Amino acid sequence: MNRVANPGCTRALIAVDHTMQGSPCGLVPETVAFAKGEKTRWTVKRSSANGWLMLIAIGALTVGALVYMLDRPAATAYLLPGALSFSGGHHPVFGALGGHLPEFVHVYAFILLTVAISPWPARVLPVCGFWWAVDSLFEIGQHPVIAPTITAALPNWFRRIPILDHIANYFLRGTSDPADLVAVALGTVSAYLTIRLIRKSEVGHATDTQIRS
Amino acid sequence: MPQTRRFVPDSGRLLALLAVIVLGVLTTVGSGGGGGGGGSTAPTSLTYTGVTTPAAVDQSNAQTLVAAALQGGSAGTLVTGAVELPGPAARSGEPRVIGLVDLLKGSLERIDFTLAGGTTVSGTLVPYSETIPSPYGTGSLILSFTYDDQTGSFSGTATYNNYCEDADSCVNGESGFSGQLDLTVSPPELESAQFTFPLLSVTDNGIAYQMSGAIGMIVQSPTQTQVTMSAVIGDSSGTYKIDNYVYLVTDYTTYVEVAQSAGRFYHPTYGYVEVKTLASLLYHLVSNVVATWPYQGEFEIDGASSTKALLTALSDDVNVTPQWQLQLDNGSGVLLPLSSGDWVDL
Repeated sequence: MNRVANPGCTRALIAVDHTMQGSPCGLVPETVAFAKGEKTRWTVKRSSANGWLMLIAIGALTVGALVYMLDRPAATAYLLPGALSFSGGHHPVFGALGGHLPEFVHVYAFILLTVAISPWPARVLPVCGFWWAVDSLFEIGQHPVIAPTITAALPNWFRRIPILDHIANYFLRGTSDPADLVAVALGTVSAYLTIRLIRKSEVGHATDTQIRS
Repeated sequence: MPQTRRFVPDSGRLLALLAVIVLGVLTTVGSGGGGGGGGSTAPTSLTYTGVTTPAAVDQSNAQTLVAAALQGGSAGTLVTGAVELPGPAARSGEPRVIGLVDLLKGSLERIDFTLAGGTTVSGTLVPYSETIPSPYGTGSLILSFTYDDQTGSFSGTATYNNYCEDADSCVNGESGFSGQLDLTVSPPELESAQFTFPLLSVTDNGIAYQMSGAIGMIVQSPTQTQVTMSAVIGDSSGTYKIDNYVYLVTDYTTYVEVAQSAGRFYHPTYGYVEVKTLASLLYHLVSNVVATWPYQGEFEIDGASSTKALLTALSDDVNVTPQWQLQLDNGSGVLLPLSSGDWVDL
């Protein structure tokens, strides 16, 4: 049986005998039936990697929440209760970074979360693209030229539902900032790299274990 | 051999995926655009962190308190960079409780509402945007709003980019606004308006200050407006707070009358006093700019333990001395003269 050492594990998988027992590189072989025929693919054992992704995502979201709790006035975040706002009486804890950190953290964390629970774990790029688009469009939608068009198109029943009743304010009172778009893009790229890194380290770990055994 | 199976994601994971997507979108909306600011930029409002207990007015603080309460912050003439204009009115910027109201109201009055309004086929309001060049300098005002031409209501945002209503006062920042037009007259006239601004940066005759808060105004006649204002004001001398100032502003050809019925002023060092006018304050209007100080009227601050101070405006003529007189009641119920002088010394 071929044993494939990390790095270069993924490419070397072509040489793996499909009849082998066990799963080198921590990969699980499965043949998937697609509309145009069957295809064998190898997927990473996900449980451990996904756990890490979720932990990192929750950590990142916590940092984002701290920005609002410590540096932003209570009234600027709909979901932040006044009792959890400690922004007064001190210099901003996150400094100038706090202005754009939430935009970075949001796209970063939700890409990780989505990949961690997605039924299609190999499709990382579409997930990154989706959240990049969502966060960027919301940011652009705050531009004063665009915001009124969006708010005017909102259905009236939104006004009767918590959170949805706030969408108009989000667009009308928010500030469209090019630096936030940069933060969203950086968050997307960082999330992609984080996923690659975590999965690579998991693959390496699985391979090492197997070699030792 | 690897097993062959049709790839069907399990419903539990699909549901979890959907939940994450919904949560992601909702947190995007929920983390921004609250009372203003939008969750997109650095901290965007002022917070008052000074003393919040009632101030006892005494000999040592009466002059400071009354000057700050009258001006809505520090007395402008004490700030470096202030320029005193020649003429009858010693000037170092308009009184803030008048200047900002004029500016905000003026920006609404520049809207041609006949161009806005209407609804789409589906019944939603048609948005309207307009960029107004600054009357002075190269700045602009961007107005984005919806207007219901059936009811006369409107709401939106005003973005001030170094927008100068006159040669001396310019503003930067954003304000949400809403209001009502009187449709019974033609053309429709402004009936009421409310502004909420997380942070407006104003320079007035070389003096810079910032304001976070809300202003409401009810237009009672073309020349008379009732104003309510709550705001935190920051300038080079500190951060002050005005709470629920209620006053009536009446414009005349050569002067402006201000009658204040209620309000509380917070001074960062001494605490708060209640303020009101016993006799309307009259400010000269020179070249469409309101003088810094009144030339007539009585302004009272009430502090803890029945202490109070009464400022009487005598003149704003730089050739007249004294221009004001201050009396103090230390709680005994009797007002006694404390000091007098020129406005530049208040």
